[in-house]
Amino acid sequence: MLARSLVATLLSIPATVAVVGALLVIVPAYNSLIMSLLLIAFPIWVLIASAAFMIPTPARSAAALITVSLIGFGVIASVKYLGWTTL
Amino acid sequence: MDNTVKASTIKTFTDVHTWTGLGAGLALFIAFYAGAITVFTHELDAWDNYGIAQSEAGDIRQANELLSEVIATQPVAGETIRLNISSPEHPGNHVMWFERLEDGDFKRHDFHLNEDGTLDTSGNTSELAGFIYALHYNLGIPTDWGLWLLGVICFIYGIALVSGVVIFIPNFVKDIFVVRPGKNKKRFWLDTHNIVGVLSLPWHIMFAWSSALLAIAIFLLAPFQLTVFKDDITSRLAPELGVVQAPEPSGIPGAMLTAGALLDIARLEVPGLEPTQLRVSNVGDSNATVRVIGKTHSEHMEPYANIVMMATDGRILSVSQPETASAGATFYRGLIALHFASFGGYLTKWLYFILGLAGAYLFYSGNLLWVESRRKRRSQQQTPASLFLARLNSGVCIGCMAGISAAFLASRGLADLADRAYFMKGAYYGVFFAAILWSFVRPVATGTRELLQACALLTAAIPILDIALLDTTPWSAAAQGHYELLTVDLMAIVAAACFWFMAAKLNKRAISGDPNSVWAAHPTSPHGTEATVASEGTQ
Repeated sequence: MLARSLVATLLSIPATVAVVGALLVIVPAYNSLIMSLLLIAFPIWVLIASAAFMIPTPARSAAALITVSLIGFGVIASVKYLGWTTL
Repeated sequence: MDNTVKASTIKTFTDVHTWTGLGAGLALFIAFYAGAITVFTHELDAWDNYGIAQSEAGDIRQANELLSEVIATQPVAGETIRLNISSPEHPGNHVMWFERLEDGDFKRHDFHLNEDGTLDTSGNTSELAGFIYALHYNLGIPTDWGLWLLGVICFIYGIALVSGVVIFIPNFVKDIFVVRPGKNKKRFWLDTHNIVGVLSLPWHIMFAWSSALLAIAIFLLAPFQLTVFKDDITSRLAPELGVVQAPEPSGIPGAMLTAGALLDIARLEVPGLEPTQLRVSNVGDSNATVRVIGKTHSEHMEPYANIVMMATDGRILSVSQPETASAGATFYRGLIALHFASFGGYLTKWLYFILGLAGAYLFYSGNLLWVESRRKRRSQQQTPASLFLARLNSGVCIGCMAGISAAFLASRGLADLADRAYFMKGAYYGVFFAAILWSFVRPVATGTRELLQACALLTAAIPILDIALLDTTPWSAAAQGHYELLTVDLMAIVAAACFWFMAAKLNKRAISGDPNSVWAAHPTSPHGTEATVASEGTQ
């Protein structure tokens, strides 16, 4: 349980930043929308961490969260590189 | 078991619920118990000030005089000062200044005007409401560390809520609203834990969420600043909330407009505004700014407006009010309003009070459940872990409640002392830590019963001290429209009765309950440390 908990709580942080960050660069850069997305970052963090416990082993859980993080940060980097966001 | 949730998932989430509950439960108990009382912070402040010479309701002319006097005579140049405007709830104009000390801490200064127009710098010694509020958000841990700790605990609390829902789903229909009292104490604690948890779940979700925003917003935003935004995220979003960067001080002295003139300008921007506070930054400088904070007649959940303007000429820098707030700002303000119950009247406050106490019960009962779940049913000898948690739960939870009652008593009993706040805080911490110590040196059942009895006596002493020390009775004060005294005293009597009842129930269980329990009069640890107090609980 310790390993699963550490994986879920720690790796859920970059995964949350990646998921919410990807949404931030995809949606139009209205301040109101940005604020709303940032506000839901906390419940998304809790849900991602909780969901990580549903994966049977810590290794798979870590792999899933790292994958989500890589995809999210990939989207952020790509959108920024292509100049599709003003953020 | 319902097939919709796998047994292995239930097992995992039960483990998660256990560690999150154990990790966060005690801190959340303090936050919720103090928070429930903090719902009535204004009323508590009125109770605490009762019997002390009250400021007379002051008009705006007096507010101008007070502000001018403070600026002219106190070393506040370049600082930020607050003028709290006289209102029926808080009569008297009042200026506050938080002086930053060399060690980074702040020293509060309070100023009033005496009847003869001279400045009263003696300050306000009434800090009970503020202290209990601080307990709510920092657990009594000094500086920002308590706030940040609570922010992290909110995350654990969030996971506890999700895991609690997951493990309750399979038995939702069967167990919802079912309480099975009887010999199986675990069943009883579980049923009541479930009912309270399910009924107040939306409220708990809101609290975990809004508390995290209030406590660790800066840490939640920082990763996005590093990875997503190239501009400063706060300068982008602050205007949405009516927060503007105050201009740098020019170094050139400048005379500010009168408080009355500034309020008139604010009312032009927000018609119907009922100003409660003026916050002046860069005092005495030509670039001084003023933030006017006040209540509007908006039907929105968060009815407060902020108007920021230059103090010297009234030029508007920013206006934030519910009617024109963006969706994002409304979302944020709504969450904050839900947290502080600032949208409703007394019915809402009482509902929050009850839900706050229910929340405290949720964490207390969660820890008791853990102890019951690990009870060795065929042996008087219980595990060290069970004994430890039973002691800690009793010491921290009852210690917190008894400590708050002691703080009430100290604040009333030492109202004439200049160091009243110091002794009030000392009373809380003294009783709190003494209770923890007591719970570890006494047998579990006996120690807990004694702590509950002490808590009942301390709480019952609140109305007695009120009647003994004040020149009026609670019912006379109520007849004159001051209900705070009577309400606090009645609540103290009810609370004291509840604590005494709990002590009696615990004593009954210690004597006639299952002897194979930490709550029996003679449980023993594997090391036999409690064997010597075998008959104490039966006395």
